This record gives sequence, structure tokens and C-alpha cells, in this order.
Amino acid sequence: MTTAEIETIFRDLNAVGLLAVTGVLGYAEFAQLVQKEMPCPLCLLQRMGFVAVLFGLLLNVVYGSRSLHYSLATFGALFGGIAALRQISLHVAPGNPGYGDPVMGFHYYTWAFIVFAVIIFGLAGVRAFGIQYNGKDYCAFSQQSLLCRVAIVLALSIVCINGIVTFAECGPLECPENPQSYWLFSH
Amino acid sequence: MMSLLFMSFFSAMLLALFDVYRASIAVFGLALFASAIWLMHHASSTLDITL
Repeated sequence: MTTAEIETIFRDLNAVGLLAVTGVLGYAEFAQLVQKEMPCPLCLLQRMGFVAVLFGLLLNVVYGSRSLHYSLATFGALFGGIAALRQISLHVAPGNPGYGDPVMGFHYYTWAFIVFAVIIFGLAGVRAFGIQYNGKDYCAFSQQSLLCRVAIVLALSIVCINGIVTFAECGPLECPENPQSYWLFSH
Repeated sequence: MMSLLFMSFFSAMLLALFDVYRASIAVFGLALFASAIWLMHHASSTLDITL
């Protein structure tokens, strides 16, 4: 297998990761906009953790695999995991109903913690393959494979949508602890 | 404020896409640092609830 083929495989692998994390954020947006599950400040911080993971994976797709990119994604996953754990600790007391409706027995923040843990294990596994760190360079969007282009566009779109929807919910100020309506539509 | 953080991450991703490598990592680092400060601020303001 040539260096170029190996590089393509790992770029595509990171693009698949990009799509998976984009799917998680997409489901969060679906829950917010369709199922009317308003996110609290800690929920938004967990989304930021997912966005930080997206950034590390995007760097791997655009510039080729580097150890630094995996580290940045891991930092993002650790940050999101800490935010999720913080929210779990707020609601762990007996009799506490938790925040929002549970999905398959777990609340969103518990699922977020599980997904962040899976991401950290996944990143630790993928970065161990030293063969991917050879012969990589910047690859312009137009030269990327179709899979990578789709993953990049979807990832950028979901981050932009999150920014816009968060502004609609919170406005320029601090988000309320238990939001009931959108700031933008109540002013 | 939080939408600003999201847009900072978005800017970092756009910079990376247009081959502005170091600036994109710098913007990402600042955004993640600001998010961490926000998390600590939130944790300190809700501490009385958990205690």
C-alpha cells in the first residue's frame, strides 16, 4: 500500500468521524427545534465539546493526520465530558427528575458523557497507528474526495446552525438556567 | 455570549479550511479556554445548589 493510499484511508476515516459527530449535533438540533427540548447552559457547553472534536477531525481531513489534531479533539472531548459529568452530578440526587425528557432510559447529558467517553477511546486507538503520520499536506476543498467534502460542509453547517439557534435562544447575554422560550422571539 | 463561542469555533474551522493553519488553532484555543472559564463560572454559581 502506498503512502498516498494510506493518507486517503485516514482522511476518509476522519471524515466518517466528522459525519458521526455531526449526526450527534444534528440530533440535538432536532430535539431542540422539533421536540421542543430547550438546552440549558451546560447542554450548550456539551455541544461546544462536540464542536471542538469536530475541529480536530476537520484538521485531520484538511491537513492530513497529525498528533496535534488528535490532541485537540481529545481536549474537546474531555471538556465536553467534564460538562456532562457536572450536569449528571447536579441531578444525581434521589427523587430528582433530571433535566429534559430521557431517551432510551438516559437523559441527554448522560448520553453525551457516554459518547464523549467513546470518542476519547476511539481517538486513543486511531492515533496509535504511526503509519498515518507520513507524507501529508494541505488539501484544498476542491481536491478532497466526495465523502470528505460532504463531511466538511455538513460539519460547518451544523456548527453555524448551532450558533444561530443559540443566539435566538439566549441573545447576547447569559443563557437562563431553565429556558422556556426564545430570547429573540420574546423581545 | 454562547453564540459568540459557537461562532468562534466556526471561524476557526473556516480558517483551517482556507489554509490559515496557525490562526485557526489560536482561535480554537481561545474559544476552548473561554468555554472552560464559562464552565467554571457556571459550576461556582450553582455550587450552593449541590451543597
